[in-house]
Amino acid sequence: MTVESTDKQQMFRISRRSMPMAVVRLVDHGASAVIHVEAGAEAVVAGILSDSSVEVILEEGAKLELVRVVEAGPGGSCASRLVVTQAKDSVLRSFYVTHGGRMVSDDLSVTMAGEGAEAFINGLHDLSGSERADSHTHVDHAAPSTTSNQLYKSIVRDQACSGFLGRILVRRDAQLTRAYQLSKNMIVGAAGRVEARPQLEIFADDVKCSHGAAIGQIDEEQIFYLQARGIARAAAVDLLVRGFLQDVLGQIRHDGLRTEVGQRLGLL
Amino acid sequence: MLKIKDLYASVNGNQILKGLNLEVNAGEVHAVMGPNGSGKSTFSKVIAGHPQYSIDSGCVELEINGQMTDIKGMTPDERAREGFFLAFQYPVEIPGVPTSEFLRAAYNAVGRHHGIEALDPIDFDAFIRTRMKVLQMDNKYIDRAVNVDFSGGEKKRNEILQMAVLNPRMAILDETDSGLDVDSMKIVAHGVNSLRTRHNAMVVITHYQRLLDYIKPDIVHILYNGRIIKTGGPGLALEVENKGYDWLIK
Ligand SMILES: Nc1ncnc2c1ncn2[C@@H]1O[C@H](COP(=O)(O)OP(=O)(O)OP(=O)(O)O)[C@@H](O)[C@H]1O
Ligand SMILES: [Mg+2]
Repeated sequence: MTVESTDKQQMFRISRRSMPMAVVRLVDHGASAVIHVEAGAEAVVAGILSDSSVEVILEEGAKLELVRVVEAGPGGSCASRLVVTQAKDSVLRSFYVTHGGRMVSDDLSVTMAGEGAEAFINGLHDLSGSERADSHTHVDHAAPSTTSNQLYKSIVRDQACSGFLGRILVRRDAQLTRAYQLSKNMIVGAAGRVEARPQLEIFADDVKCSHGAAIGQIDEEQIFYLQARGIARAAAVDLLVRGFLQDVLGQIRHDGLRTEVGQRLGLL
Repeated sequence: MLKIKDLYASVNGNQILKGLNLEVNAGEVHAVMGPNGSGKSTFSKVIAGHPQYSIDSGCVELEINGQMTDIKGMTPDERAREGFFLAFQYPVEIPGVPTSEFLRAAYNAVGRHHGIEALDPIDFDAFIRTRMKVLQMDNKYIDRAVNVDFSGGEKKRNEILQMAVLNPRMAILDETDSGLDVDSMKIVAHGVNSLRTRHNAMVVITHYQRLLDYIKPDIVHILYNGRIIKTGGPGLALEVENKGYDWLIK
């Protein structure tokens, strides 16, 4: 791997000769990064970021797992951007977490330019107080036989608000595309808000697409069951929240990073 | 151990329990039988403190630290930590929460209240395996989410596993036998019997004599329309098995 850094930009070039699977750390200086994974190479990149702009280029057969934790700090606000271009048979695993900030937004745009490209795009909002977080995803299926899977989950406590806007575009030539998108939200308490909007634009005819949004409350029968076993209400809520987030957290394939994120969220 | 006096209780504005009286002493096993819809599960949920069920009048006392104590104002978890246990007729599924984690959280919550040191995952694992052995449960269950993808009978067995983990002083078993095959029922009954001591007590709600062949009750009650309409010895259950409830209701 070669790294070139200036004050304003970090450049990572990952080749097949690079150390396999060592986690590359992005440094947050409110700046931008370019991650270029060469043909056939694999990389795991993680960063705790505030304002950031990351560009990813995946060459043919390249694989990248990218975990971004956004921390705006209490009362803070920030915006991050991720732009990905995927060549043939490349695989992207993107995981985005935000837990806090008055106004936090994330824009993610993936162009699946090569046949057989695959993307797993996941996100998690853990919000309380009067925090607000918005995730926008835009997945452009520009080549045939490309697959995208999106799972976004949110925990919304107090008066917090979680927004998810997911756009999927399937171009005319992108036959045999599969595109799945799911937004699941759990409101803890009465005052939380969720805005989930899927947008599908499909111009090819032989495709499989699905999208869905679910907004639920803490299940009081589950709480009662846990309480009936001696677990206090607050701890019972924590257990249910952890249970709710367990599958999305499981989308992080790198064990160390999954544990790290879980701990950061107080889930482990 | 448990004393219920003139209990009237409602759910969603419908009064279901209408003057229920029951007294259970340490060392005793009581059986409660009664037609569908007579209020048996309602009774068990009221005692457990389910928030949807409200007590209109009467009193419910549980022995706590040697004192009969009104538990009306106590939350379900406080009751459980004081040694009350309900084995649910319909155990609740909790997706995403591993059974092992749930059991450990419960064990530590109750234990901590009584000054018992919390167990870490490794020590708890050793402990839980001994309990599962008694109930002849496969280890794979504790890695699964609570009651998710458990068969009906497995869920019931899981209830008794929880009872074995928490070792309550006062337990109500709500139709633990329904859904269990003949062999499973023997195993579960054996598990329940192994937990019996002179210092604890239980109420076994059932429709069938078969369970009572294994868990022998001292006293049998018939609950009908929200009240105990008859109390007798073990013979009463046999009589119900043969004759049904008609002769009691008239
Ligand atoms: N949440 C509820 N809302 C409204 N009515 C309820 C509710 N729960 C129970 N009931 C009613 O209360 C009555 C008693 O129900 P309960 O479940 O206590 O009966 P049961 O004796 O346990 O019956 P079974 O033998 O079928 O288990 C029934 O008529 C039932 O419809
Ligand atoms: Mg019932």
